[in-house]
Amino acid sequence: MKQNHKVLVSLFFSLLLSACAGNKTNSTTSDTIEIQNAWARPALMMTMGNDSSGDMSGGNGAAYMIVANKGTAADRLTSVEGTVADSIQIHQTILKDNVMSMSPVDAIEVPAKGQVELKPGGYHIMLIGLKQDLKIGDQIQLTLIFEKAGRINVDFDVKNP
Amino acid sequence: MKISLSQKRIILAGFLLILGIVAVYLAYSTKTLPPFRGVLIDPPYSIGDFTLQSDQGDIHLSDFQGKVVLLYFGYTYCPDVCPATMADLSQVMEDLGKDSSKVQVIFISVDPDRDTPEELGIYARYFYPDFIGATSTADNIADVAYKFGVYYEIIPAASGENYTIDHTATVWVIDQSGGLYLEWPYGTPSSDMASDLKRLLK
Repeated sequence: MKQNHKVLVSLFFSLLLSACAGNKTNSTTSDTIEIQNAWARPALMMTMGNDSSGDMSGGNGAAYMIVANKGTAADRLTSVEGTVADSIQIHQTILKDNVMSMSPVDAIEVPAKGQVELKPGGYHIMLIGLKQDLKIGDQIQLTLIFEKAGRINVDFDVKNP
Repeated sequence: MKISLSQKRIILAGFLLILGIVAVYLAYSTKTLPPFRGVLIDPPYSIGDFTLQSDQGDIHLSDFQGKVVLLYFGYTYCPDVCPATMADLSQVMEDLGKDSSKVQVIFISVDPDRDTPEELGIYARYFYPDFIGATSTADNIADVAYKFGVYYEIIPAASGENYTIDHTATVWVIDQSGGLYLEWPYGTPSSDMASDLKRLLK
């Protein structure tokens, strides 16, 4: 019985520890590229209409992060892949005279020893045609594809900023 | 009965004292109100009534007389700025506590081809249970947007369905009697919006 308690207590503390570790900013590293604070906005699949094609997807989402380049050469984020949405693009929001416009970009350049932040009202990863609701507490995995650093898998926490 | 001169003086002094207290009180009470953080429209501009369609039926601006109405023009496929603003407005409602019942948020779609009243209802209530999502015919939406000087334009995409819409990202604040009172440009912190509403609801 006592043994059981010990196991439970140690289990509890290890869970607590891992929970604390999980609370740290979500960070993924390759040799040169480090991804910090990867998060996605909560969003709903919009599938009200009876889609004749029968595919269950709709509505859009957005994901954000900080891309830090520790290398001595500039790199470029050229595309993003994932199974969470029909199509994934890199977009930029531009606000001019308080009018919001959004357009796809070919790539985001990350300077050597520098960083770029994808954030609301700026660059974002646009998830087009969501295949699932993005609920607070969920995690979604996306694969970032860099010109030099190659493919990096990153878990994005679904949360409010 | 005759009032003596000294009695008159006492009455006058008392009157002046009360006047002074009232003046100080007024000066003090206006001074303690925080300045508006949004762009103040002075005097408020009477918007006039309009009708839109929600999943609960027709809604009119005049239905909400007595409440402060916050209007935002956007579309549910907008992934970045629209949900950011709606999430901020949801935070404002939380900050207001019980005064949130004196405020009505209405999300007006500028995308009548894709957004249905049902979808807009789900979308709006996702951010806050009392939020309303509304749409109308393309012509009526254009008329309503025009009242506010809201600009929007569909930007075609390579894959036809996934077009985006450029649009004014302002939140419009309409006072309890239907006058356009304040504008909050995109990025106004939710604490500033809550502060403005507390003042307006005084």
